[in-house]
Amino acid sequence: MKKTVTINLAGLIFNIDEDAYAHLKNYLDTIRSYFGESEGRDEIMTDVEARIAEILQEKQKEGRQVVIMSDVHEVIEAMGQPEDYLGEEFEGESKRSGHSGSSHHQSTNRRRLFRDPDNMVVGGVCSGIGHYFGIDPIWIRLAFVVAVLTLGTGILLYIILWLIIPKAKSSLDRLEMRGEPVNLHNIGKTVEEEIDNVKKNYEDYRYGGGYDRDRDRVKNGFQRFFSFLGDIFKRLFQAIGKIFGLFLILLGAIVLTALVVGLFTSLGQVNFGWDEGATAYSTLELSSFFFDSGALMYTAIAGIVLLVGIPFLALLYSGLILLFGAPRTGRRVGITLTLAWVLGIGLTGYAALKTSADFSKPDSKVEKIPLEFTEGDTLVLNAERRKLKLLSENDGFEDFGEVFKLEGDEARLGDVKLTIEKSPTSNASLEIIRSARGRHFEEAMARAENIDYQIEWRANQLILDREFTIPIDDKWRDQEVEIVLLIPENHTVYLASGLEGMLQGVKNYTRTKSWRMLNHHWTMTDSGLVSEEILYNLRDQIDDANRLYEEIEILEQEEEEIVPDNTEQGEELSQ
Amino acid sequence: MKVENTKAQMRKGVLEYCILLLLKEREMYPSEIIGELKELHLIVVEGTLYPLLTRLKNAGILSYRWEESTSGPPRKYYQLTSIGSTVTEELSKTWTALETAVNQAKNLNSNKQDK
Repeated sequence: MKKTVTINLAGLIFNIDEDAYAHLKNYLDTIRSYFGESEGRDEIMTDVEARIAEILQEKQKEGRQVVIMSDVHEVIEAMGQPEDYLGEEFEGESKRSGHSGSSHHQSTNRRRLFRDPDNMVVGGVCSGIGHYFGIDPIWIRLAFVVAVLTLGTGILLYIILWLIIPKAKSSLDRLEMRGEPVNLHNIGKTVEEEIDNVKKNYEDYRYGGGYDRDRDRVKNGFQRFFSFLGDIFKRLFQAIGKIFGLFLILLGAIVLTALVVGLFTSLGQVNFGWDEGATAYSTLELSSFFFDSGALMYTAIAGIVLLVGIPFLALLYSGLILLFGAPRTGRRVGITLTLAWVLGIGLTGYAALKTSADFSKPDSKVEKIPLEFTEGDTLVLNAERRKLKLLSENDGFEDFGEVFKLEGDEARLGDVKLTIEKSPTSNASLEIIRSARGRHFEEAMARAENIDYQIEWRANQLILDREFTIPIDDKWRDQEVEIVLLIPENHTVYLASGLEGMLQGVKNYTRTKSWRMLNHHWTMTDSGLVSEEILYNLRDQIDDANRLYEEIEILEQEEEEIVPDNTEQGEELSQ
Repeated sequence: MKVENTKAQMRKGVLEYCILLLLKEREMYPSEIIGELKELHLIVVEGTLYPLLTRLKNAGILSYRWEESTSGPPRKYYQLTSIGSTVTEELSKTWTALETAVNQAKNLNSNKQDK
């Protein structure tokens, strides 16, 4: 069973099989395109159609009502292949087709420059140029991309070429574009290729909507104008889409490359601190210090790669689609990507849950060291990076950046905090609080006990270590060392510069910021820590300020006159 | 080899002349012309004729009139115009001259071969 189409050929009605229709239509279209814009084309076409109608009518007299494929073949055989129409006629045109007076092979195949609509990225310019010179269009495209990136003139050149090079519309154009000999065999081949397209278009037309005929009728001037505008915009958006696609491809490729490089090569290093002592570590080294087991680590890495990589892979892929059109496998690729991404979520989630369980219970061990110093004495408190002492002494330079270092089976961490509080007793003491986390308290405590932290007396100084070490197998489980200095009233402590960065929220009478407390003597009083030097400085500043108040009447100007540094402290006191 | 090309060129020139000769006798519509030409083995496919007729008509050599057909679409009956008649006369002279020339050339050749 076959569907038929009703056609009007030179005023006569024919019922014609769908496939036969497609073939006939293509035949007529090809002939039409052969004549190009030449004068008399429409008249010739009318004559040809009339003749075909005549032949078909002769056939119908045999009793069959429907025109079938074999009829069309016979018509074409009688009328001749498209190039025969040019063969004896149209001198100029026939040159173009290489004097195809006969259907035999032609030795002269002149190529013509067309835009290739079958193989286009933006406008088919590169593809057409590629055909013309007989090289793979990828090289032309590459050259254009380079031209766009380096000189920026490529875009303009492309647009101009797009405008001036005609699109290959007919079979003849395509053959000439490819430089294939224009003869019966090749035309037939190209026509066959196009029949499929026509057929498809026709089916789209039929099933796309039955009201198409009505639409044609009401398609007045306005609608034509808008459809013309629409075409322009469509093309414009297509071009923008291509550029956007290129951007997506670049973005996706860069991120994916970074991801792979970052994870699997030593290039992806993370620096802790920024001095000579700080070493860079690859992601794998760091991860193995974080994750409980190798399996869990690789699970997490795979999960993150999928979780982060898939969206960018999808970006890259959609970029490719924008540039080259959607492939048939598009759906499958989409589903695969989505599944892989969900897998990524699963793996990451599993690793995160598993690892966060390791952090669930905190515990800490407090070590209390009595300090022997009496009222009136001054305790000098300083800190050093014990293992890097030599380095620090040599160049007199202290680095206070966060320290992280893996040394053999030990990891050195720089997370040491210091606070100063009022001793509840009359004795001074130092509390060293080692804390860590684990699945349960016992594990947390075991880790806390594994923290190796030392203090050292040197002359009259108490030297704290800025760092502590833990066994590397303990993994990083939020190990911390907090030092609490407990001093009774009327005892004085001098905070040396080595403590910088370690002091954390030390309460004091003048509400001086921790980092300003260094290099001063602090005495514990009943109202908290007081530094005579800072008090003295503040009084000076207040006097200065008062003098300024007297001299300058307008209050607002005062803030501008005083150095901001002083203003802040003045305000602190006045609070 | 270009022999097919040359043949086509020769046929092309003669074809035009023959159409004019056919139409000199009486007016004809394309299918008739095709039938005659096929008998003369001058054309193989019909498609060739239509562009030729259109060009001759546009050149003022031919004119046509419509005639309703009982068995199909209306037919274009072609006839020679006065210019067409003149052109046909001229072509006839040229043809005679060519024929003579070709014959002479052939004879010349065979004479030489005889010697």
